[in-house]
Amino acid sequence: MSTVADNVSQMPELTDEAIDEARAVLGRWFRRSWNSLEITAEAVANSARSLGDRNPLYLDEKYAAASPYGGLIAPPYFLAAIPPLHAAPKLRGIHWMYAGSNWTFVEPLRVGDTITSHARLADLQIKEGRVGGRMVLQTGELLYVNQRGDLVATGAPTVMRTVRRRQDGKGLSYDPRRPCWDAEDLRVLEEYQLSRTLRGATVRRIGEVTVGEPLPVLKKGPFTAVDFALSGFDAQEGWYGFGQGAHIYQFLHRRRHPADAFKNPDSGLDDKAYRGHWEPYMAQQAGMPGMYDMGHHRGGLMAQAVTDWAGDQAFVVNCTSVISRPIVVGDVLSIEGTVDSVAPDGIVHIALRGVIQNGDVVCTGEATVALEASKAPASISIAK
Amino acid sequence: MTDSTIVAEITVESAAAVGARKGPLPTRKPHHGEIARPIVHMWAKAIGSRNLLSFDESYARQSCFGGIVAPGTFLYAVDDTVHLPVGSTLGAAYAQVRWEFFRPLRLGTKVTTKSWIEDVIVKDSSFADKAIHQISVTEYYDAQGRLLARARPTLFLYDRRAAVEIGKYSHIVRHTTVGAEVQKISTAYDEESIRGSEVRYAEEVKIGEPLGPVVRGPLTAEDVICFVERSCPPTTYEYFLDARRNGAGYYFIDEYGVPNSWYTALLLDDVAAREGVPVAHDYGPERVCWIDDAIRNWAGDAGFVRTLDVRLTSPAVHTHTTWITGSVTDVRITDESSIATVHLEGTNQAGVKTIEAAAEVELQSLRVPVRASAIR
Repeated sequence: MSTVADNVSQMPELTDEAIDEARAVLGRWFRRSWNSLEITAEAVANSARSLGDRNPLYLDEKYAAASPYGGLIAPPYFLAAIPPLHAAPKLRGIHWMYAGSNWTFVEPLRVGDTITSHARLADLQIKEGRVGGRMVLQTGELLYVNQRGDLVATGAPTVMRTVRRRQDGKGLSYDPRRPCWDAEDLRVLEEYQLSRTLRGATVRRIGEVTVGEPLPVLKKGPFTAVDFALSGFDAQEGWYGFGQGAHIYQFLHRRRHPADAFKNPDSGLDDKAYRGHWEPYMAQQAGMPGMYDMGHHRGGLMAQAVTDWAGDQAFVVNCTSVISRPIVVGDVLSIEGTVDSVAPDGIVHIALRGVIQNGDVVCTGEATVALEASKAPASISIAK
Repeated sequence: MTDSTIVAEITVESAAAVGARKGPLPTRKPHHGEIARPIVHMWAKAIGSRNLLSFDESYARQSCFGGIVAPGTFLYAVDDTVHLPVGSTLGAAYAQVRWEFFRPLRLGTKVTTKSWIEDVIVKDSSFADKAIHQISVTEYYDAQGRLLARARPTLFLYDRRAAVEIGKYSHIVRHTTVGAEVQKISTAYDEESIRGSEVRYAEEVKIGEPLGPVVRGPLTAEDVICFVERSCPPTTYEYFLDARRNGAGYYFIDEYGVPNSWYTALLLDDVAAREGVPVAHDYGPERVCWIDDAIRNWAGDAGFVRTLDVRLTSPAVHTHTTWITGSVTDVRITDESSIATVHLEGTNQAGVKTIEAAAEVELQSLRVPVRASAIR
């Protein structure tokens, strides 16, 4: 195991100089030209399945052809599959925690479209964290442009940069936890998950939506390491981690970015600090309570709760998520939603929150939905 | 019936009762039904291949194929050939495979598959006393119905408790890679020889000529995740629940009461240990892909791997490094074909063999400069 000195040397503090260096790139568009990504039916279906989304609008070509969109579209969270996932440069050696997203849609993400993204760091805030002390919130601006040059969506992902758990007492430091389940609780939960229905093709009309109305709760879990690591959601290049590739590509990356590496005392290797998602040791080193979820997956689950309720006729104009606490292996997440307001033109605002089994609120969010896509605020063209 | 301590009786009859029996398998929707550029590129990165023919469009345009060609074993991303018997609670390991490749995998090709179980045999096993060898066949077809390739894998099905009790691999531990060893691996990556556009003619090939070395690793969870995510990832969330309700037995209830896929053994040592391997390990097929890549590195762009036999002889676990070396064992040049036979093996840093492989590679011949069969 590593010594205090080793530990501290691998976990730099958040210095004013490092923050100034990060601030210096504010507003500059990234030079890297991201690969354009063609939205294929397979990629859409695979991303939906990987989050347990059964919506046939993303899975069934025939069904989608009969929908208002006239064909397959991608779910809102597909934006997380288009590189880059976030724009949080600099601060090497300071841990990344995906802290939320703000996705706004101008047009549906259609199968067959090729999306190119542009990214820059748009905001940098210094905060005092409840658990980890001083931290930096970096918010990016992402523009998604289709092959015709039309802006189809924007994103504003926020990443929390925080010092990892240090043996000198500084840094992020959650107490470990690992929830237990008994068979009967699990049976009830599974029955709920299996019986939950989607709105689907049944149009949700303005007259049937009332302020204060709850959305059907979306329950996910108990989460497993396979959900976090092997679901296939990150098979696209959206997340930097796997987009880098394996073996030689990992070696080359570590050579280029030595401060990204975190010595694994077990293997002797310069390894990835993000492996705490599926490795208990690194989760502990990062200061997390256990193997923890991918924040962008959670943003996707919140969007799923909204599209499940809204039905095919509706269009999600905006969906935000703020991730406030980690989810660990064994947790069950309930996404709850409440209609906040209904405008005469059918624009519905929804308040969202995610609660785990002990009652802790682990994320919050909002969504704006146009019940009839043709009445969405932006010039949305549905059937093309 | 999902507890890992349950001992399944290892007989052909008991295997048949849960679906490991000869006959056709249900048609599976391909995970990637079209050979598309981004997928092939990501695939190359997932197996650690730097062969430009797989991802550099301008380079590939100059090749004899006139465009990007996926390696034959890319077909694992279409269908990973792993057919777990539906109700089986047995452990499963990818033991060996024979690939036959008939046509290059060009971009835009739409692929469908047909699979069946060819044989189910019970054999004595030094790992788990007895094991079922489920031999299946998966054929891959293009949209015109032409056979692209055929895979004949053997899935090794075994009783986990017997494997733990016997402890054949109980000596395996994580390896700490330090100092000169890191440098050696780094140098091997830098010096990996890729023949590329320089044609390797059969007449120039000498028996005994070496292949490699090609290095992979030290294996990390990220390497394994890269491969599994890009081939055929396991079901999760509601789909995992569906699979369990539909009789899938490939899961266990952990000590916290939570159902977990046995794929967790690819990530966590304590779960791998319950399968008889003390350290989290690879999926299996990626080693076949590494071998394919090593051969393509040697053969050059104009070479075409016709057959590939790979046997996985020992676990490849996290932190271990695989060194692939080989040699040419035969060259046959006729008016119809020019085939080099190569044998390769993969050994880990301790010299333990983890892969045995043989392949037939069609090379260009000085007598018949362009073999249309290889580049059609």
